[in-house]
Amino acid sequence: MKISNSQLFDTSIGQMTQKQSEISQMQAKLASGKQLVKPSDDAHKAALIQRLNSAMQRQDVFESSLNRADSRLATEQTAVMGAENILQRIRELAIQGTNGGLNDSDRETIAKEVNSLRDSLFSLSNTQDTSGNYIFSGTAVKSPAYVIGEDGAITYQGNQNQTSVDISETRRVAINRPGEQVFSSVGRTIAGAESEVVGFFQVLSDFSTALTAGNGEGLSQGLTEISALTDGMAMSLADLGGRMNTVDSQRDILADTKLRYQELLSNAEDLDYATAVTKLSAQILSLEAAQASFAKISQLNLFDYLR
Amino acid sequence: MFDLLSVGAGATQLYRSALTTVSNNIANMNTDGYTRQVSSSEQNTPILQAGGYIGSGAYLGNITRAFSEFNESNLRNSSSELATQDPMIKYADRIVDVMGSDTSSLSGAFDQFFSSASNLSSDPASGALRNLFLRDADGLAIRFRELDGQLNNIEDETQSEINLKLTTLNELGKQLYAVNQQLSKKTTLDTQPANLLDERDSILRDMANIAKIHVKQSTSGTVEIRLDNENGTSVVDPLRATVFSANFNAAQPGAVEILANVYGAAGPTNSVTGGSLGGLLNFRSQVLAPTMTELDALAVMATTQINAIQTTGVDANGERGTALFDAEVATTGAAGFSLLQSDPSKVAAAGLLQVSANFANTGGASLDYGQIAEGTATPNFTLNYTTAGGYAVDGAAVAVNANGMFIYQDISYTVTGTPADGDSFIVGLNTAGMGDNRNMLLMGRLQDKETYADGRSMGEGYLDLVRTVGNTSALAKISQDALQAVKDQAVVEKDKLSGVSLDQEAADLIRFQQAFQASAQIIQTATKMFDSILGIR
Repeated sequence: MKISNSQLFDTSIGQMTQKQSEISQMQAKLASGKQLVKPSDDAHKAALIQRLNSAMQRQDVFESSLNRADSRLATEQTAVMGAENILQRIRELAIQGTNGGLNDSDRETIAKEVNSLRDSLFSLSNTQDTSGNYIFSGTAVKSPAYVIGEDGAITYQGNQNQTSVDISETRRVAINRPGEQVFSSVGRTIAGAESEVVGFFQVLSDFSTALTAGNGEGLSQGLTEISALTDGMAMSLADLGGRMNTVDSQRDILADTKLRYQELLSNAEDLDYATAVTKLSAQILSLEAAQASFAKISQLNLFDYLR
Repeated sequence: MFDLLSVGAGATQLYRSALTTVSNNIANMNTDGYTRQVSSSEQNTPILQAGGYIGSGAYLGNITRAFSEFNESNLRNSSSELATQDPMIKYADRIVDVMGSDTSSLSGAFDQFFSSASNLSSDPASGALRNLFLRDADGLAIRFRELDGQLNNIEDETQSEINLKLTTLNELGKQLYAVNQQLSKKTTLDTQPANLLDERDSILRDMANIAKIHVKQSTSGTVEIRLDNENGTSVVDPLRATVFSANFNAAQPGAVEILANVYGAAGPTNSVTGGSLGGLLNFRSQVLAPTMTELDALAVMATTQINAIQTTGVDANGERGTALFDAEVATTGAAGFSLLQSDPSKVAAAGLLQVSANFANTGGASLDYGQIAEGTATPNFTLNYTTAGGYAVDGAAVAVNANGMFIYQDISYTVTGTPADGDSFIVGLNTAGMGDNRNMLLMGRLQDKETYADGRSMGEGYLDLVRTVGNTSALAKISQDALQAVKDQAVVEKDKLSGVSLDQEAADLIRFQQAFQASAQIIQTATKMFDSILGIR
């Protein structure tokens, strides 16, 4: 078969150009450390990388939600544990107060301590988180959970809503507990009348009044009610513990999930240097061979022998 | 004696011509479109002498092109098919690179938007997070517009490229018409100048790169050209060259109308297939137009879905949310994707309704509401329960089913637990809920919501779009490789016959040089013989 000179040149140049572009492509991969220099190299892989990146970002969002939940729950824990300690002391005082052998001034002293402890509880009930949100106000986080009215009565002005955050694609955790549930109410039954709901701080105020007045019936009722408040607080603490556990266990799961996605992403995206370098050597060798053979073959010409 | 001289003289003339042909081949070895020329010799008429015929030498028969019409048409057709793939690959890859890159992809903008929504849901009262949410919402809008702009750029570029190809085709048509005029001066192909035929074939190859053509050659070598096949629209006939133009429709980038002005009035033609022009038309109808449509549909979907959530929530001022993105996107497409809100307090992070159980309730029941459709009026009512009369909304009895569910003013409510006699719930706009994140949770979860009819999320739908365009380009690349091999083979076949090989020419050079020298020797011999005769004394 006759091969024309221009065809010989064109074909050789075409082959060398092709090899050179392969080498440059491989060089770009080595320089970036990525399998894809541009998405059009492999649209499916590019789409996969985007999906994995998106999943990774989701995990980062969950992580920041976990951090936020953690900080909120830690603030709540400090407040609830403080409140529980104070209630324990009030309960001790209530037991003391119901003891018959006390005189008026003894009871007055106890009443003063109860009042001061009640103030501490009031201050705890208006605990704020790092962003300045009142954590016991339900979702009305910008206003204090409890306020003191003109008559000195402390009333709840938050709402009963719980706020939850997503900590995984399927899991949610509540980051607050409305004040009315933490500083719980009790049902009070007065002989001959309908039962009524009495608020947390009202119970303490009533008890303090009973102490001052030496009202024996009021005192024993106070002790019962304060015990109920203490139980309520313990329940809040248990509920909080449950939520904190959820956060902790989700944190472990999240770490595993992130690791898994990172591996998948690395497989899809990162260049295997050993293979790439070997390939590059082979490509360079092949280009050199093409160049050398072209230089030799292109010199073969009958005219060289015509003298 | 005289005969010997004339044979020798004729032969030197013949071989000088042969050597000229060879040197012309060598001189033109790098000339584009040159076809190797071959000289042929023929015997002179023998002369009857005594009892037989004596040969009277040779003369230059013809100088012809080493040419096969079959090889040439093979090359033309394979060039047409190969040229079809190039625009497809070039522009589809552009789309994939824009839509699939980390920096310009919609995926990144969606991720950022939904991340901000989720972050805001963890502290809905935070002004800083609300600001970030608006920034990323704007980022999403900008990304949609940028992508639309990129696709528009490609639309513009392909439009000017189509116009350019048509201009070139028209120009080639004119040139071919002129060549035809020249060729028609002679009646047979053999007598046509070789360079004119080479020029004709070059023009035809250039035409075939633009669109697939059908060539009909007359005995004199003039050609009639039609698009695609023998029934296609005429490109060049003996009387005229057709002028082609294109009609574009901004609303339908895929529907490009090619007009052919054959007889003085431009009419549409469907005959354009193959070639770079066919490739450009394919790209616009098969890739560009569907991608633009899909992106517009996604823009409408995103706006609708996000607005539906935003308008069924309550903002930081305790007011019902208003649309986040401009609903005009339904008519403008992705180009009109724009953020309407700039005040961070207008982000509706809170759920629409506040359900308050009466403080004096003694039962253990709670009341929840379900998903609220966009446009539903904000309800405001009190739900009462009495042992005797059951449930009543603002005093009017309402039927609650076995699951505790009832629907009032298009919103479904569910009572869980058992109420006590006289318990009540107040339902109204959630006015004091700065810390309420129910709506933002919905917004964050929109990322996974199966918003496409076939169950895909918006992000998945977008990535599918990237994959689809990528598939088209990958298929075109495979076709290109195969068609390149076919074209290479056609080039080899044509070259085998028509190309110039220096070795072959060198051999011919020696052959004809020797023949020339021998012919000169004939003249020398004749002279010597003549001298011998004259020398007789």
